[in-house]
Amino acid sequence: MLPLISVDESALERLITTYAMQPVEAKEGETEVTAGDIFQKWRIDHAVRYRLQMIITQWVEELTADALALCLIGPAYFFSFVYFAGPFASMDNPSYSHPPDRMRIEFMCDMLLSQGDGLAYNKVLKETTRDYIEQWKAYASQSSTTTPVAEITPYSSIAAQAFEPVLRKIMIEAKSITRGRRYTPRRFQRDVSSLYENLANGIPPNEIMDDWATGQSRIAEAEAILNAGWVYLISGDDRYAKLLDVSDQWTVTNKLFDLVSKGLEYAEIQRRWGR
Amino acid sequence: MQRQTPYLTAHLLQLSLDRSKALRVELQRLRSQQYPPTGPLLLIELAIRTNEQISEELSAMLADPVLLAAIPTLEVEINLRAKTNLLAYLHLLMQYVQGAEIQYSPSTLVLPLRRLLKKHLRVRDFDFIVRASRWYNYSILPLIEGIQEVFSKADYSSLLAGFPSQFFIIDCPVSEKRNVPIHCMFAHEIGTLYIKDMT
Repeated sequence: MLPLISVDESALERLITTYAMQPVEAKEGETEVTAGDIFQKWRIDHAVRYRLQMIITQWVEELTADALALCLIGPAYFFSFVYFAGPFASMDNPSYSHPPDRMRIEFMCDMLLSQGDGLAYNKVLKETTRDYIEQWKAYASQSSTTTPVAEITPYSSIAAQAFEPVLRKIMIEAKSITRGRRYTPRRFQRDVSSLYENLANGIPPNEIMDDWATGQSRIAEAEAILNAGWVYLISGDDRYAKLLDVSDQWTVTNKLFDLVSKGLEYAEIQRRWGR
Repeated sequence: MQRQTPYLTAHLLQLSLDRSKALRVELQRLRSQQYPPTGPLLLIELAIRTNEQISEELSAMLADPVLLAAIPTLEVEINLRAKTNLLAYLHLLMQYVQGAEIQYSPSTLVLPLRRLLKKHLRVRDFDFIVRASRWYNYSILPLIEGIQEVFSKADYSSLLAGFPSQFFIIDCPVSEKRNVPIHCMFAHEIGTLYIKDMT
């Protein structure tokens, strides 16, 4: 993957020149000197390029782990990411180890919804769920709303530009190495709506009735249970809240999470009985 | 009656044995807690086995009149230091068990997580601990290299027989321990394992 990344050489040269011209802290009475006065240019060049390479390597790993997470459990990973990290998201403040959240969120939205290289969940998601992801995509796609303050900023803009051509490649690779073991939109479509109805009615989402006439049921996969929990939470469906007779959103969310947890637990017990 | 000299070797050995006995009490307390299968108990059992062996060897040294007849030789000091360093390491290792108890961790997720890891990792011989921590983040820490290095330095590698070749600590924020759907964040950590597994 890394050989595919080419950085903007002119931007990099400007960065190297900036570092060479940076004043080095001088002791009292000493003449102020710059990094370029002390170090040969090739040393500064090497140090800047090395740091940029480290950042790009780390970022590739992080974005690949995001892509793999979507392949392993589907949209549930994206929902948990924005739910957990959203309020704290450093949208435009990347670190040496992590790309900016704006890039990660936009990348994940693309991977979930796009056809071909992506996972094509757009075909199987309900309108409210798809709309939720598209809103995040619109938010992440708009230009920076905050002023980046991190020391890494000059590197990150070069790194971010270099990433554009490889994002598709990361999606393709993640799909390729999880082929045959991936949680697919087809499985999502088959199971999630049924488990969603369980949640709306306050029933733990541990099994799926495939045939009501014969009473034939199937133990739900953990991936499906977790996705159903998220889809219900995002949907704005208030049937479970009404059932609980509770209006406080936090309480309803916690009760819903408990119900999802029960679903996982019961499915595990059923699986053990089956064995 | 005046104590007989030299006394220091016996004294140092006894002090070390006391440390081992104190650790035994703590390990028994940890073993009496309930954990989701199977990582936490594996780690505690490893610590108990190791501590017992150290205790036995210290007792054997204390019963050796030749050893006790002189002040500690350099050889005794090195031997003793290897054992006490390992005791301190076992003490430190137990930090990974705290927060993994059934009532404190997202225990319902442990079995599905194990299945997911089995499905996706090439390495079959692994185990892990999921614990709730004060760090407000999700993270995964491969522990086995550290364990192997310390046990090897102390010459106790044989006690690692039967211990998994990969052992991970997976952390989630303690305030979110009940909120199982949020733990889908673990999928990213599995993704990083996947990358390491592939490379």
